[in-house]
Amino acid sequence: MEPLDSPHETRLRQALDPTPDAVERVVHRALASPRPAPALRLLPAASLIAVLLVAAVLLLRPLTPRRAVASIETVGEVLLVRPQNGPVSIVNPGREPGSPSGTLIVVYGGGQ
Amino acid sequence: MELETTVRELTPQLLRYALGRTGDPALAEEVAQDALAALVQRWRRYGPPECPAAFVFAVARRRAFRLTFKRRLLFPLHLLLDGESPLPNPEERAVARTDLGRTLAALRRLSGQDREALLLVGVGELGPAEGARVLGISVSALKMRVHRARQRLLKILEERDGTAGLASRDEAAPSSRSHA
Repeated sequence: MEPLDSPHETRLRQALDPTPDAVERVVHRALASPRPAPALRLLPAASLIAVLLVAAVLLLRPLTPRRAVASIETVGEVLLVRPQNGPVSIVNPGREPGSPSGTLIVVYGGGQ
Repeated sequence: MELETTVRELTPQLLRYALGRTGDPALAEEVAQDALAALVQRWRRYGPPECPAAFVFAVARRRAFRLTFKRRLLFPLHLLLDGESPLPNPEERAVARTDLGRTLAALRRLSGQDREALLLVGVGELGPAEGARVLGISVSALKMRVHRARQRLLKILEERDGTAGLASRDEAAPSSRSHA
């Protein structure tokens, strides 16, 4: 490599040389640059992590078992629906040719 | 090694490099200041880096790239919003006629890689090992780029001036280098 002090190199540096004022200005500002508060510096990353955590919790949490509101039981061809509150329903697919809906629903009160 | 001494030593080199890189004294100051501020913060928090010069030039290089890219990107918007003419204004024309303007114009004619290598080693006065480290290339590759850039720059300046090159212009205009 050519020596760094070749005439054209020196000329190049002279042409680009900063003024003493500019040097002083830059030095002063660089040394006076405030230290960023760690809390503020980490704010974007912390926000992102919080959002991801919330999303993960919402998406991945196990579904809580729901309280049963009725039990359904089949006895032969008859379906018994026992709600916690309200009357018990008995559903029986009718086989009689005369039955219009093909289903017989018997409801009796008490819920028991 | 003391922080303030290091900053003071690196500042002129960094300003020269940044001016050659951006072509704009105000932008060069911003680049140098950002790079040095990064060094100051790094130093205060974790102690001095292994090579402060390489550290600060690597930051300046990235910062200069971002700022010049941003300026080019926003240039059409400035034209529209501020109604500025794309032609150089009288001040810019005056600067272009100075030694600095001619030097910057000559530098712009180099390829990006060669210009970067020349600015780091020839203008920023980084050693070959530090320059290679900043550019992420081998020392021999850096030397090759610098050599090529010097040859090309000399040729450009000879063509432009019709003289024997920059060396002969030293005598003609020794004090025309103020830009800030």
